[in-house]
Amino acid sequence: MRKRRAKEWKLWMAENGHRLLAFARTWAPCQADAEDLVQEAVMRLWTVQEEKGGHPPDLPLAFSTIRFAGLNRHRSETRRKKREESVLYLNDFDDVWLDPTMEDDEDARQLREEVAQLSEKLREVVTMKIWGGLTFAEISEALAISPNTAASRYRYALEQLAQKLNRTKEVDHG
Amino acid sequence: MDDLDHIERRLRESLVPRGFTDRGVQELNALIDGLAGEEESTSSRRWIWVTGMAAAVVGAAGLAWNAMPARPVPLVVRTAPQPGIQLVSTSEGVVSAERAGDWLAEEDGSLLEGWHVRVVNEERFHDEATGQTVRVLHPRDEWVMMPVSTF
Repeated sequence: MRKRRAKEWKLWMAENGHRLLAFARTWAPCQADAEDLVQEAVMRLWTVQEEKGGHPPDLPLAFSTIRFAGLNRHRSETRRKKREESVLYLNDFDDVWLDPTMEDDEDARQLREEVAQLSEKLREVVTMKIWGGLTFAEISEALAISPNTAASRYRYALEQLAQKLNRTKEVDHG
Repeated sequence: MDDLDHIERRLRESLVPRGFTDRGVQELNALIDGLAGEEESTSSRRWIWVTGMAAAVVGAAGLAWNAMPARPVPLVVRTAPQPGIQLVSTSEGVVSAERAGDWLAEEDGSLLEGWHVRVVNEERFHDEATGQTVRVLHPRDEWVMMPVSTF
C-alpha cells in the first residue's frame, strides 16, 4: 500500500515536477532553494492528502502550497535582509531560472529579463499559465482570485512584455 | 492582439525553465520513499531525520502556518522523534568569497565592488535519546557590494 502510494507520487512528480519547480523558482533566489521549496510543499501536501485517500493533489492545490511556502520563506528572508541591507540576492546572475533555448538568441535573453522584471502578481500568473500549463480557472483556484482577474493579469503581463520589447527594438533601430 | 499572440508564442518557444538537478530528483524520491515509510536507503533516512528536526525548529520558532488549506503540519509528529531533540546552537559564516568583476559608483563618488559570497548557516541539534548531535547546513549564495578602499 505504501509502496504503491510512493510510486503514484513519484509518477505524479515526474509528470508535474518541472511545472512546480518553475513556479517555485519565482519564489526562490536560486535553483537549490526552489528545489527545497518543492520538497517542502510535497511534505505538506502528503499530509494534507492523507485525508483524501493519499493520492497526489490537484495542481491548483500544489501551486498554492508552493506559493504559501514561498511567501512564508520570503517573509523570514525579508526580516533577515533588513538586518543585512548591503546584501543583494543572487537573482540574475548565472543562476537564471529561464534559459533561452538558443544561446545566441538576443531576443530571448531580453524576453527573459523582462519576465524577471514583471511584478510578482503578473509573473506568477504568466508562470502558471505558460510553464505550469494551468487554465485560468485553475490559476484562479490556486491564487484565490476570480478567473477574470487571472485572465486580466495575464493579458496585462503580455501587454507589458510586448511594450517593453517594442521599445527596446525602437531604441536599437533608432 | 498579434503582439500578444506573438509574445505568448515566444514565451513558450524560446524560454525553458530549468528542470530539477540530479541531486534534487534524488532528494525528492528519497523524501517520498521516506514519507511512505520505506526506509531502505540510508540517504532517505538521513533526509527525514534532518527534515524532521528542521520542522521541529520551525514549529518551535512559532511560525504560523495557519493559512494552509487543510489541517496544518503534523509533519513534525510524523518525521521527528518528538521528545528530547534540542537546538544546541546556530552559527553563520562565509566559506568563500570571489570578486565578481562588477562595479558600482555611489552618488558621493565612492566605489563599490561586487563580491560573490558563499554563506553557510549551521544549526546543531542534540538528540537526548541517542546522544547524537546532528549538524544541519544551509548554504546560500549572496551578492555583496563592498566599498573599495584600495586599487
